[in-house]
Amino acid sequence: MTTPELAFVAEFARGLPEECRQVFTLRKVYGYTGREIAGRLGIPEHIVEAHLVHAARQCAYAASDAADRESGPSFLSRARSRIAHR
Amino acid sequence: MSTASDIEEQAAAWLVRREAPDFTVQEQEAFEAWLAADSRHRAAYVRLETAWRRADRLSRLRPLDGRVHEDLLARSPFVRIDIEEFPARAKTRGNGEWAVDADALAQEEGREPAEAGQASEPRRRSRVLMFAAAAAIALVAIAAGIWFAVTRTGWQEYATEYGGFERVLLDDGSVVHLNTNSVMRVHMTRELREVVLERGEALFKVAHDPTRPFDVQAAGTRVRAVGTEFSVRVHEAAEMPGGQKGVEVLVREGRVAIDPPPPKPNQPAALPRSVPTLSAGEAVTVTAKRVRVQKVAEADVSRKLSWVEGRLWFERQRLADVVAEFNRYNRRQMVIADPAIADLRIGGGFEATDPDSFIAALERTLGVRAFPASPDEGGPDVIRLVGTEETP
Repeated sequence: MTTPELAFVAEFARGLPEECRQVFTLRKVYGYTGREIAGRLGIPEHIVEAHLVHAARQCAYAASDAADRESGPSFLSRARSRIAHR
Repeated sequence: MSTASDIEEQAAAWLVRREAPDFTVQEQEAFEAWLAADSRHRAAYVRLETAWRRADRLSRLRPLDGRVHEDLLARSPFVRIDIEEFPARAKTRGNGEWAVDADALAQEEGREPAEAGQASEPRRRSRVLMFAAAAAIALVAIAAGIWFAVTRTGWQEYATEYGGFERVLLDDGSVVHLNTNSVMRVHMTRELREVVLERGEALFKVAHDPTRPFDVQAAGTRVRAVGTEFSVRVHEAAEMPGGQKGVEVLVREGRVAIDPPPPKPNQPAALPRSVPTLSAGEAVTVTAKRVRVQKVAEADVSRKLSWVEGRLWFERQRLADVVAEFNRYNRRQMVIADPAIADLRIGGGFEATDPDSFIAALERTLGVRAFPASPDEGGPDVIRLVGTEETP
């Protein structure tokens, strides 16, 4: 993975809602399991999973947006980002 | 018929579910059935997983201090830092100037690497890496007496000054306590966790991972562990009775395998060619000439590792040896200027970086006196110790 990609991932993380971002940080920076995250943040495990699902989707959108900046948006990715930003 | 958004939601749910430690065989079967049910499922899953895996590299931002900050990614904007510049600049500018925050660094962002690196040699030309809040934390760590660098080959370097001490958290979860005046390089791959202790001493608390051995190389000796706790100390030639550079390994927990350096062609083979394994409460000293294994009582293990708390513990040790130990931690060096006191026996606990308290205790209890050395004897950074009978 090249350096700009790391920048993009952190950039995208800052755009997540606060609790979602904390869950994402504990998973991706610190490698915590869902249960450990739930324990640390004091929220139910299924909420942790929901946050991770949201983060995963946003991450994929951010990735396709980043690809667009290189090559110009495709029709498909423009449609996707409209969904993402709804 | 599912919409694209539904499929994506399902794919993301599978992605997260599959990472859970309690993901079952039945769930795996259901997942495979879901993948096979519709070609769009696989496409959505692959796209999400690719992006999600890229995010794994965020573990690189994990702070060196081992503390967990769940808001790490919420902080200041990204800054560009040329990490290979760290050692050169940290050395030339001194440590204090590096206690800066990320906002101040962000102002440097636009600068050309060439401008920042004027003082360094051309071969230092390096990658520019992006760091977030972790950069600021790393810089605070530098201010605390440690610097690190990532070289092109992926080796990461850590170093401490005289009297310095650092606790380093490695990517695999292992913790290294780096003692005074030490240099360590680390290289993590999928197959192997490699550490080279160039100088000094370190205590390794190795995270258990049977698929990825943890190797420490020091003065030609290799110590291999999978999950255990042990210390390694490089003895410079001058410190050793035989005048040969050597390495000392002490195991506090678990077992390690020891592989001494191969004998030089013109030398007879060292006594035992290899010590297969070393258990908790055992220590080995390896030089080019010999390999010596010793049992170490539990109390002595704790005493030998008390430097982790910044203290030195001695029990009936020769003053000459105690002084040598203090001198590892301090620029101000003590010298025994009177052979009559070299064999006095010393016990007790002292702050490693506070030789003055130690000297005060010596003066009070043993009648030893301390004098600053004259310029031709080494100047004000040398303290001469003499007995009561001796005049300076």
